[in-house]
Amino acid sequence: MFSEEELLKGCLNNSRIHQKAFYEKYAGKMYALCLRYAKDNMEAEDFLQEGFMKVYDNLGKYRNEGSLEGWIRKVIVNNILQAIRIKKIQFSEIDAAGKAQENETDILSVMAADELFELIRKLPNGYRTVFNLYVVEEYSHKDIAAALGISEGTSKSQLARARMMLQKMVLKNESVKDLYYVETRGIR
Amino acid sequence: MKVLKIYIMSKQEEFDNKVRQILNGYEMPPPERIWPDLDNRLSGKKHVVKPVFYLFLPAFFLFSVAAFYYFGSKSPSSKVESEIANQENRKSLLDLISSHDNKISGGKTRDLKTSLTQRNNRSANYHAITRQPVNRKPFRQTDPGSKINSNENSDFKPKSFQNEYSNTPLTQVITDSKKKELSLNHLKYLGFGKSAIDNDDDKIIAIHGYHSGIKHKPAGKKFSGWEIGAVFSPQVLRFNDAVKYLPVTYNYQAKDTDSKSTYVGTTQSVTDEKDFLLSRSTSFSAGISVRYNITGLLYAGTGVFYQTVTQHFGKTISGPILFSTVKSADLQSAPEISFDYSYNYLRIPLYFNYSMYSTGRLSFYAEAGAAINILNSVKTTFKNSEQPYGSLNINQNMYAVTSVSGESPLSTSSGFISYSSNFSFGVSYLIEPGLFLQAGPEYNIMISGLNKDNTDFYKGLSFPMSIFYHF
Repeated sequence: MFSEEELLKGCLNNSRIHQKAFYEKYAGKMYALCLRYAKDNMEAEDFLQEGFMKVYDNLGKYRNEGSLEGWIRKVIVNNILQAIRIKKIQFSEIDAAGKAQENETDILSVMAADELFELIRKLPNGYRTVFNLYVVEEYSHKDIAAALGISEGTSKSQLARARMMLQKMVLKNESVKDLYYVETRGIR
Repeated sequence: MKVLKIYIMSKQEEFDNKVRQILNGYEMPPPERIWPDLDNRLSGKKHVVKPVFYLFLPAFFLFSVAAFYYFGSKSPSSKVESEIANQENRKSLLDLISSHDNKISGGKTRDLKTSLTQRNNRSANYHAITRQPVNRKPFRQTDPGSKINSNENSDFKPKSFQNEYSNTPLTQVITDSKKKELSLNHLKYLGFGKSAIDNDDDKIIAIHGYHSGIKHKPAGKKFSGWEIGAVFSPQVLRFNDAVKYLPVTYNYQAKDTDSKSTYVGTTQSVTDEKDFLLSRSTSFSAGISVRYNITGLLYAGTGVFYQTVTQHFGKTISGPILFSTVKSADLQSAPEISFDYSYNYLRIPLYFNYSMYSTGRLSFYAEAGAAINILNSVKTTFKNSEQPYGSLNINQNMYAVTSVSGESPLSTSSGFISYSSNFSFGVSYLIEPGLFLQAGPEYNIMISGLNKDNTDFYKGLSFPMSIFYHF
């Protein structure tokens, strides 16, 4: 098992053993990240492969400021955004009618990560991208607008609709709802 | 209203935080097929053809042409060939014979008529002599053996030959040669003797394209002999970037603001590798090679070569990296600086070259070898595109640092001996008997103690180009 410093040095020296160990260490998290942005598994695999190529190419630029994982995540997200810009995804205004339920946040507390993950993947492309960037990657609307070539207003509206749609999906999720009622009221 | 807005926003923030918290550290195992694809792509990345390669090509061409004229003008044989070519349909053979009569050994002659009579029932392919693009059998590389010995009778008479073909246009001789057969010595008269040999069927053929460029086949002797050559081999592709560097002591020059006085100092070594990004690298080698032709097809060779491996560290350094205290004055480099490291080696190879196939003037070879590389020096140069290197305050005078260079102390423990091996395929072109060009791609791999984790120091494809002369 290599330390982070050894991995970095090995990768910079183009040592395949170190590059593989580096990949194995971070591939799981980065694949999950790619899946959140991709429309299907194939696209996620492409994002992951391209992203790691970018990471290997630019590893020398990592300056020990912040965590290495955070830096890798940033490189991969940037690569994904580049691909998204090329594909020119539509940021359509799908009506996510209905008010958000007031207890959606509480329900989230009993939700498993993979269930939430799958729900996020079900969001339309534009919603999903903005939601991921704002909520998970903590981009500002200004940054999102610049990265995706849209206006800040579009970014805000996409986020609001994404949130609303996700909240509805969370509440509709039967297993989560059941678990929520069991935990909060002791009944089914 | 404002309170409601704040409430909604806080709820949204809470929701976002919850989502982030759940997804934090979430992993999904990627499909197994991704790493092999990535591995393949990593093997083939960053293949940049260096401009020096293109610059070298015309230089090599000019050198080859110059060599051709230099050596060519000294050869009586090529002079004869040239004359024949110019006067192919008009000039009488007699003139040619007369002008080179003194080149013939009187003890090794025989009568042409005798020779022709002895062989007039044999069909021979002499088209090679004419150098015309006609249908012909491929030349065969043969061990000349004793067949030529039988032809090297003492009954060859230059005068008879002269009488037979006096005032005969060369084209007629060649026409005759399709029906009859000429001996090696006769061909010598025609100016082709330097490159004529027998084959197993006792038919005379011309072997201008024979790989070794042997001047002629002395009776009863093998095709052995020494050859000397000049080789230049630029890197074409680089398969790895894994070149580490040695600790380097940096020297700098600083001038005062009026450029009246210069200050020279030495900084501390920089050893922290992670501060650097290797962005590209180049390599080339040049030297003299000598080799011995063992069997006509197989060579064993060695030589002395200068080899350099250069690598470039890009502008990736943020903040000062060089520190020195000279007379209580601090030197700090400016940020955004780039480095070029040059590793210079003395290379002594041992290699084997095998000629696989020959046709016309071309021959195709395979070569493999190994070499010891002795690290001669490591030099470093700095470039700074935008800002001065730094400044010094010495005795209350400001000095601007104008140049920085580095040298590395070499020792046996610093990996100054490395080992390399090479494999290549290529083509050899005979300019004239005894002189030929050789070129083809070569795969090189070098292992060096500079890389402590035993990864390859250098893997690359070069394109050696050489010119050899056969003694």
